[in-house]
Amino acid sequence: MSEEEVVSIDRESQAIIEAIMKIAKDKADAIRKEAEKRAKEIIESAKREAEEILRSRRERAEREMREEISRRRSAAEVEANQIILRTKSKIVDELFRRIYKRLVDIADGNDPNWNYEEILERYSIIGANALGEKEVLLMGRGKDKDLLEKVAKKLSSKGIKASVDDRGIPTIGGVVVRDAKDEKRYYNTFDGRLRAYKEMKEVEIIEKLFGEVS
Amino acid sequence: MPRLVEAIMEAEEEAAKIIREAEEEAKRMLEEAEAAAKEILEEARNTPIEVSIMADVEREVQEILDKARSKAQELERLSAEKMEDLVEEIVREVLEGE
Repeated sequence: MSEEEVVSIDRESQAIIEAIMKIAKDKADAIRKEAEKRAKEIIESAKREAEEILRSRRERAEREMREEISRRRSAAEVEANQIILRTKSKIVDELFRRIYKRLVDIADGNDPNWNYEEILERYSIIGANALGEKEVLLMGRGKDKDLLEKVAKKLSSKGIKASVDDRGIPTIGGVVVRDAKDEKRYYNTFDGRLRAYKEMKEVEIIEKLFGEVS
Repeated sequence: MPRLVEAIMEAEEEAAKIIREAEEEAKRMLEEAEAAAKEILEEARNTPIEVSIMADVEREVQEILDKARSKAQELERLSAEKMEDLVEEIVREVLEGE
């Protein structure tokens, strides 16, 4: 082989080697670029998912906060209503406590504006008329016995035969009228009248007490 | 000719090494990206979420209760003014009503 031939072969082998190396480097570059692209996609995808997670968590936190606010507001409104109701109840109780005390004072003859004997007489007549009996007995507090005796006499003078039952009844005042056989009774006690009045007029009383305050 | 074959074989070995290194580098890049993505997601899951409207409701609750207490006081004041007259009126109705 001549020297020229040897030089020619060296050039050819160098060209082949360079071609092999170029292909390898190109492929390596392509692998790196593909990896870079994929890595970037992974990060971008993670960022998008992270944003979605944060958005969802924020929405949930806000929803829970709104629910908590709603719960607290409702609880406060319930508590506010209870404050008002307790106050109204206390005032109504105080009103009826005072009425009860006034009735006791009247029955004990401690109120100059009321004549308890006249009240007993009126209640006894109403009771006797309601029973429609010719003979009635009057029942009241033990300490009203003398008064009831006087009332019985007055009734008798008005054509209603009346006497006093020795048995006392537990009441703050007033009278129970019964027939001779104790088969019929007409209750006209202060307690009973107050109870009936309260049941019938409580709404009206509350309106009178609190109507102006809205 | 044997020298040419030998040179080409060496070049192919070198080429294979270049590609292998590129593949290893690519694998490392993807692993790093996966780790970074995991960290991003962890942070999103664990970052505290701040909502700043709670102070308002505390004030609103206090206002509701204060208003109720104020109304209760007003009820007590007004009813105290009416109480005596109402007692008289009701006592009369209780005793004189049918």
